[in-house]
Formats: sequence, structure tokens, C-alpha cells
Amino acid sequence: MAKKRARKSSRKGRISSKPRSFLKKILILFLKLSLLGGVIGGIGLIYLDIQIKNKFEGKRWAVPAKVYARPLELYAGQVIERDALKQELKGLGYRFVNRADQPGMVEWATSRARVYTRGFSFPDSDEPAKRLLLNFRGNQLASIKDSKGRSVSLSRLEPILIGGIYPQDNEDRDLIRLEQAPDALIAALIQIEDRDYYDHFGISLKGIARAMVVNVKARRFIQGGSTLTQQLIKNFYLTSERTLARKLMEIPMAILLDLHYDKDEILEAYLNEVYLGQSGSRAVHGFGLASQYYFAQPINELKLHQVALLAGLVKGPSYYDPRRHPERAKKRRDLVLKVLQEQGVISMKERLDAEKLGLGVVQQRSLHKGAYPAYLDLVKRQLRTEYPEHVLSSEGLRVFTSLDPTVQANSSNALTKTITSLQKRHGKPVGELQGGMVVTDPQTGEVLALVGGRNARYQGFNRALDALRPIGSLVKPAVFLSGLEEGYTLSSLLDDQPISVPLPNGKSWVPKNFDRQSHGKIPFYKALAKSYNQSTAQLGMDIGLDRVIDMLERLGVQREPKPYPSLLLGAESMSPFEIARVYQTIAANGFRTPMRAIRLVTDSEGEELSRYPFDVKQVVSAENMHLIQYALQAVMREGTGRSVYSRLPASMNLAGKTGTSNDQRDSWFAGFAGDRMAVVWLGLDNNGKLPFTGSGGALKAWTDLMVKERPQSFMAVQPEGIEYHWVEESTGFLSAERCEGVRQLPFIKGTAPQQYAECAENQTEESLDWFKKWFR
Amino acid sequence: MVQVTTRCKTGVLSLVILGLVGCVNGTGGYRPPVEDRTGTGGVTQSVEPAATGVVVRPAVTREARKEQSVAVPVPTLMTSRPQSPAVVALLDNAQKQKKSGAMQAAESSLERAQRIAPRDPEIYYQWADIRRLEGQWSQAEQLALKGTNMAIGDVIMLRRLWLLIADVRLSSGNQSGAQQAKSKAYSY
Repeated sequence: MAKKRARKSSRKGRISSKPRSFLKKILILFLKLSLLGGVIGGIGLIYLDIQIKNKFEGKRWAVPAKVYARPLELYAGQVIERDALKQELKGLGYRFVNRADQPGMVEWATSRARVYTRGFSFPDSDEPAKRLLLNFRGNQLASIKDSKGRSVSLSRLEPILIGGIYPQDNEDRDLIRLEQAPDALIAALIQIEDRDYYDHFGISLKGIARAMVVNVKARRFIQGGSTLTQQLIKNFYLTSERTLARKLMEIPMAILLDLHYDKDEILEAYLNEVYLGQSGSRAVHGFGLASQYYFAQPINELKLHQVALLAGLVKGPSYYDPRRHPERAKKRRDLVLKVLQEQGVISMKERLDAEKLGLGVVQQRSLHKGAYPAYLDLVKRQLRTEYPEHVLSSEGLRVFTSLDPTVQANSSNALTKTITSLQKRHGKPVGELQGGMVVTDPQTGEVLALVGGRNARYQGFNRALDALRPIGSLVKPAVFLSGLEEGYTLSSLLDDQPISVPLPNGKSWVPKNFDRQSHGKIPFYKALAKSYNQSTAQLGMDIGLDRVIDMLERLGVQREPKPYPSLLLGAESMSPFEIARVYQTIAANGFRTPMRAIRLVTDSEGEELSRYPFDVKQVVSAENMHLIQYALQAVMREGTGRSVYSRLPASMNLAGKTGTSNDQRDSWFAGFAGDRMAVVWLGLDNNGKLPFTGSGGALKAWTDLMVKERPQSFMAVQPEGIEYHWVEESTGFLSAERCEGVRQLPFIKGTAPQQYAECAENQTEESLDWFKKWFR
Repeated sequence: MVQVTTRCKTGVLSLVILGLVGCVNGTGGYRPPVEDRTGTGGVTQSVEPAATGVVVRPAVTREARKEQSVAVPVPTLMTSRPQSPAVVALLDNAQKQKKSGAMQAAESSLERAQRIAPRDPEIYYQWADIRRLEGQWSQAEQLALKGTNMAIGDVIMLRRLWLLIADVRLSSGNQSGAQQAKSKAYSY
């Protein structure tokens, strides 16, 4: 009861104070809502804050791995085409000037060049920037002097950057530090984009007010009034959509960013983040990369007119694209110059001088970055076996490869030129002719060039690695080497007669010669030089398929060849890269070396992460190698490869083998000079028939490459266990130089023929008669 | 020819005379001057110091056929080239780096040297020695063998390389192999 009363009285009391209590209620509600709003806002802010911190810290270092070509070594006595050096310097973005007084400049004259190198921090040592005077004599570098006139024994240019390994979003950037950015760039960005940058707190109320006036006048949203900080936020986390919601999110984020980091840090991040163009599917982010992308020069070497162009691009990289819209780009650039002059950053004279200059943008085709997709593919495949994808695309690794841009250019030109001329000659049947090419240095095993198709810049099917095609007669050196190991000699007579090998399925394997003729008894070396199928099959069946398979594996074939008799004539399918291993081993005198595309991988600080060392294993004796190298030279001098000497000097020793698959669907050539080994494949992706053989197709591209490369002559070292004898070719008997139909051939000691040809016996008697007379 | 060669050994006088008639297979110190067609067009070269190589003549053209009936190979002597200052500097670096225990740097120097002069056996000698110091016996031996392949004709280098191989084999517990390598070294 008492309780009831009490309630009543309280109700009474409330009624009596109605207006006051209502206000109180509103106030409490407001307080509650404020608190709730504060808590939600606070949580939101904390969330945003954490996000900003994480992303800002993380984003700043997400840099794709950089892949470099081999650095060009310069040393006295070096054989180097002056034009190749010029191309190298152009590829590195050197400026050809009258006076090279800064790094990245070169004075070029007929017999000398003064190069002011930029220097580079190599993993093994630092190569400082140097002024080098290079003197040429013909196509040789006669001497190198430094700025004080002292001889320099060896120097390295910086390596050309050939590509990167990009994350899923395809963003690419070259990180720069704030100090590297030219002063004019910073000044231009601030003057054009955000004049109060160093004074505002992330957002500029002045800027927003100005933008609102513009928007109201235009009755639509056309200007954002964004500060550099807001632009950075936009580039970092948000889409480029111009909505109010996005703007509203930008504001607190920009304030928080400004709160946490100092202005220079934010500016540096901006310089590296801002979107400045599109290279195919790849987005060009940051001024470091943009400098390379538009001018092929490092940012610190840019001149005022170039800097102004880049600063102007921020507003609309696509609209002001200097390659597609040079007029617009120039107008925009000149506007930037005008603002800089009006604000007193540059003088009137500087402005007018800069305005007179062209845009100075390099052609996209001349850029090395992205120009070698097939080679990069090889590099990436190797890297992906060792590094997770995110490490490759974000840790800023440096990958040093052995790609030689000159050899690569010569290879792809040789392939394209040959394909074009074959198409002209043979017309429609080879309309879609394709090819692949692998070039190595036989002694080091380094892959110098890789061509994946006729359009070397097209990132598509990599035929050098993935076109698995029957290798045809390229297999024969393995068959003949096995024969030599089994006791055959170069003069052994092989039977080039029809052969029929019964197969397990009841059919027979009946190989024919290309000319449909049989050639009877022919010397071993000649059967290889002329690429006769019947005698090869006879030899292979005599020694056994197991021996041939074993030899192929020793020489470097990693797949297990199928033990069918047709293996002897190259029915096994391989990629140009796989068969290159075999010829690489032959060129290296029987020492198998892994074919290496990567020399070294370091982290972004230059610490070595992995190395791919030179590794050798002798798999065939030096003596047997000498014999097969002799026969492979005979291929070039008088066999199926002899057409090379219509374009190459007789003084150049070359060795190699042509290959044509069954039904003439593949045209192959593999061969080497002293310092170049190359494998070429030509064919159709649909596996159609070709109107030419290995010598009519692939050999032409190979020859074209060698004509350009001017390689060292191949010098076969003669091992101690080898001796030369004159042999009568038709019988394989020992003979003498003066006799008819003889040839001097190498033999492993103790394996020379025992019998004498008739002519040699007579001559020996004659000599002895003469000898006796002397003492009479 | 074998018969003639056998007779070469019958006496000093006959050796001299047979030398005159062209006994090219003699095992004595005599080496014939030969054609090296990789030079400036068939210049006859002296024989010291040398490693031998082979040249196969080009396919016989109709014009050439008058003088030469078949394509004939000619054993050729390769004149060993003096080391370029660049290679000397790199080998010197490698040596210093190796001594100071900086094996990776030494290897980088050797790799650079190899790219410039891949036929210089000294490079393989030093490389093999690095692998020996690292205890990689098999690679040490293989690199030294590669060196012997490049050093044909250079007896001093061959002896050094085979002694290194003997050393490596001994370290890896291959006593008989070591002995064989040693005998080989002293056969030069």
C-alpha cells in the first residue's frame, strides 16, 4: 500500500513538472545519441586510423621485383660493335651531348666516346659513377682512360632494366626518395595541385570552398578541391569515382594521415603512388617509373621541361598522354611552366627556354622494359619455384639475368626477317609461320637470348619453351656419339641401305632417306654430315636404343625418351630450350652445364638471396667429343649446313646440325661457333606441313643471327688421346695424303684402321726405296 | 704411315730425314708449322705455345676443286692469347677475396673473368680451388677437369690442375684416384 501511494505521488510529481522533464528527456536523448555517435565515430576513427597506418606502412614498400639484363662490361681489347654500344647507352637513357659533364651523358665521336657513367650498386661491389674515355680501333675497344688519363682495365655500365614481376593489380612503380625528385617537380606539384600543402592539416577549407563555388556554378560535380594528401588517399584506398560519399571518407582519412606522418613523408608517398599513365595492361604509378616510361631516364636527370610535363600529367594522364595527344600535353606543360614563372619559382628566361623545347618523350617501342616477354617468362618460371608470388611482386627484389639485349635484338630480328622472306617466297601455306629461338654462350651456359615467336614483344605462347615438336635429325649427334663410344670410328663404313625394323604392333618401321636414294657404304662422319636416315637407323639399331637414350640423358635431355626405333630419327618431341641443352653440352666439349638465365637474386638492399652457380659435369670423354665436333663441322663445310658459307667467311669454324621432322612439319637448326650456341625452330602452330626443310628455313635464321653476331670462330681443342690419319674414304683403310679419295680424320689413339689402302702401300714402298737410295 | 712412324724410332739419322719428309706424327718435340685459318687469312704461325685444334675446310667449290679434290681437315695449333688486363685484374681480385674468405665475392670475380675469357684455364683452376676449400669435392674435380680441357698444350697448367685433382681426390677419400691424378700430373 505504502508502495502504491508512493508511486502515485511520484506520478503526480512528474505531471506537475512536465515542461522541464520534456526538455530533460530531449537533452538526455541528445546526450545519449551524442555518446553513441561519439562511440561509433570513435570506433570508426580508430578503425580508419588503423587502416591508414597499416596501409600506409605496407603500401610504401610494395614494389615489384626488378629484372635486369647483364651489365655491359667494358675492357681494353674487347670486340664490340660501336653501334651496339650506342644502342646500349640509348637503352640506358644516356643523352648524347657535346659535353658530357653529368652522369648519364655521352659525347660520341667517330673513333672515341666519352661516357659519364651513372654508377650502380652491384651485389658484388659498387661501380662508382665515372667519366670514361673510350678509344676504338675498328670494332675493338682499344683503350679506356679515366678522367685523369689513367688506364682503366675494366668497367661496368649499369644494367638495363628489362622488366618486373607485378602483383595481381598490375601496378608498377620504381620507388624514389624525396631527395631524388627535382626541386622543380615538388614546386610544380605544390603550385598546381595544392598551394597550401605545407600549411593545411590534410584538407584545405579554402580549396573545398573554391571547389564548391565552381561546382554550384556548373551545377554538377566537376572539381574536388583535393589536397595532395587527399589525392594520395584516393590513389591508395579508393576508386577514382567522383562521388560525395568518397569525398566524405577522404576527409577524415586525410586528416588522420596528416596527423600521423609528417608532410615530407606524405609527399614522398604521393610521388611514388600517383597514377601517371597506362602501359598496356600495366598501370604506371609514381614519378620514378613515369620518368623511365616517358623519357627512359632516371628522375634526377630530368630537365625543367620534362619535369613540367610530368607534373601536368597528374590532372589526367590519359587526356594529356604526350604520346597520343602531344598538342594537349604541350599546352598543359606550358601552363605548368607559366604558373612556375608567375609564382617566382623559375625565371622568365627559364620558362621561355623550356617552352621552346619539344616534349622529349621516347617512343614506347624503344623501351627495354617489357620488350622481352619470352626471356622474362623463363626468368619468372625459375623464380616461382623458389619464391612465393607475393615476395616477387612486393618485396622489391633485384634479379640479375644474363640476357644480352644486343644478342636478343639480333635474334628476334633474324627470326622475323627469315619468316618474312620465307612467306614472300612460299606464300599462303606459311602465312602463319612461327618460330622460336634460344641463344647461349657455350662455355658459361648462360642464356643470352630467347625468342618466343615472330612478334618478340608479344606476350603469348612461348615457343622457345613450350612448343614441343619432333626434333628430327637434331637427335643424330647423340646416335653417332653412342656409336663412337661403342667402337665405331669416323672412317667406319656404314651401310646406307633400306632397313626394316619389326614393331611390337606387327607393323614395320622402314625409314627412307630424304632424297629417296640409298647411298651404299659411306664413312661414318659423312652419314652424319649428309644426314642420311638409313645409315643412321642401321647404326642405331646396331648399338641399341638404350645406349642412345642414355646418351641423350647424359647430354642434358630431362624427359625420358620413348624407346621406339623412330627415336633414332628424332620422333621424340622437345622444345627448342630442351634440345639446346644437348647442343650446349656438345659445344662445351662434353661438359654439361645447366643453362642459366638468372645470375643472382638480391633483396631490395642488395643482400644476396640466391645464386645460380656455374656447375659442370663431364658426361662424354674429350676424345669422343672431338670426333663428333669434327663431324658436325663437316655438316657445315660440306653437308646439309654448307649454305652458311655463302654468307659467312670460310675462316669461321662452325659446327651444327639441321633437322626436319617427319612429313616436313618442323624446320630445325642447332649449332655453334666459338662463343655462341643457337637453336632455331620454325613451324606452324597448327602443325601443318612446311614447303622447306631445316636447311631451307631454320638454318637461314641461324645464319642471319651469326652474320650479325660475328661470333668467335669455333676452335676444337685436340685432346692428347687423339691422332690424325689419312684414310681412303671408299674403303676406310689407312692411306696417304698424295693418294686419291683420301681424307685426314681424327682417331682415338689405337683405333686407327689397321689395313692399308693399295695406294698407301705403294707409296710406303716408294718412300722406302727413296730412303734406301739415300744411304746407298 | 704407321710403318714409317715405327722407322722414325730406329735412329737419330732416320729421325732427321723422316722429319724432312713430313713425319707429322712423331712424338718428339717437333711440331710442324700449320695453317690457322681463323687468323688473317692463312698466315703460317709458329708453334709455341699452343694447344691444338681442328679446322675443317669448306665445301669444295668448282674453282677450288682444281687445287683440292676433297674437303680436308687440318690439325691446327691454337696460339694461346695473353691474358687481357681485365682478366688479370679479376683473377687478382678473386685471389685476394679467396684469401680473405670472401668466397661469394671471389666467385663473382671468376664469373666475370669467365665471361670475358672462357678458355682461360687459370679461371677454372681458381674456381676449383674455391670449391675445394668449400669441401665440394665433386664440383672441385669437375671444374679442374674443365680446366684441363682448356689447358691442352700448356704443360705447366696441366700439371697444376692434375695436382689439384689429386689433392681433391685425396681429401674426398679416393686414394687410388689421387694417385692416378698425381702420376698424370708428373707425366707432363
